[in-house]
Amino acid sequence: MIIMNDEKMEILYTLITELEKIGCFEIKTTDLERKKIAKLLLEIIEKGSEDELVNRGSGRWL
Amino acid sequence: MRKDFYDAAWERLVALKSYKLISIRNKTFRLTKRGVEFLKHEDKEYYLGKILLMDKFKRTKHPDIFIECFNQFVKLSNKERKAIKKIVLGGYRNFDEISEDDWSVWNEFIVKVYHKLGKKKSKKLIGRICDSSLRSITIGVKAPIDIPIKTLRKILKELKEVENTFNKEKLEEVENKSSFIVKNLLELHIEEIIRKNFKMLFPDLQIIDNGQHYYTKDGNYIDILCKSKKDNSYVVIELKRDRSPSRALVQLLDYMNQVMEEFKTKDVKGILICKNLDRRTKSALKAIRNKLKNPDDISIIEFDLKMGLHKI
Repeated sequence: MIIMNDEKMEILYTLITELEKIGCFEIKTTDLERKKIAKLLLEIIEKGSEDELVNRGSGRWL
Repeated sequence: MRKDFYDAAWERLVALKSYKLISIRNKTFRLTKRGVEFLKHEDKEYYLGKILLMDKFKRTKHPDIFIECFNQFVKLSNKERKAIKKIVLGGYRNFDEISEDDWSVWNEFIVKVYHKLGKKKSKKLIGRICDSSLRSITIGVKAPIDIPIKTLRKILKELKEVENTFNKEKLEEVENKSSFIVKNLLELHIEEIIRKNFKMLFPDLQIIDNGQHYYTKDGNYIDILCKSKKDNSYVVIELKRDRSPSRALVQLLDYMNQVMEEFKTKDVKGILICKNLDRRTKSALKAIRNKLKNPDDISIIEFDLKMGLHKI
């Protein structure tokens, strides 16, 4: 089954929104930020460059 | 863009992967069965908590301490739970902020678990296992201690039911208690045991899934994926802990087909490891094998609870 990128983004957005609703995350985000995060996650998954998130982050999780 | 945008994105990615809601392979992601169930579930906090506890329970080397830790934890007062939370979640970072009262609540908690377990394990070990059972070490993943107490009680009840399904036999019917416990632990940890003893059990095979379930493109996971050292064919191993081997046989055939498509090869074999093979599955297996060029391409291994393996 071919899933279009919009659908993939929607799935990621829904998952992270539901996880945030039940208090999974330390860093809280707005709806717009979650949409941007879903887009970014899809991009880095497709580039195979997940480490980019850590490199561009503040080092908080290191 | 806010400063911690990438931190937030990383936190979410780790959570999605740790809870196994998505699988990422070959630069694409798939929604897993868990992911679908999570989205469908009415009580997502409960579903996620259940995944968290069940996964931790399957991994722990001390299931008795794990269960008793939660048994005692849900019995505590809110004030006591708050004190324990301070120690478990912040103890090492903010050591000085923890009062003597909080430490004494933690010590009393450990002593309760110690007594319930019949003083068979050291307090130090109990403390360590309770601490790791209640905390989370992965970012984005809830600590069990943070699950609302009502939800935790519900999950714990189910966890005990899972444990009970392995304890149907009455102790008096069992020759000796130690073999009874070993039997039930074997069922719970069958995959771990097979992986640990893989070379001995399957000397002709080599695991290629890096010790983790292999996720297929369809979002299913294969218990163990390996390759034959003899002919380099792929071998799918499916473990069935409960009694529905006929469904498991169909599942195995499905996974074999998925591996064939994914790796573009026809050299895929399947092994189903299960308990108590029923007549219908045996008959179905016979029919399939009769049609195969090499009947050994699909085999079923029944495990008995002493971990002897009998090829059929």
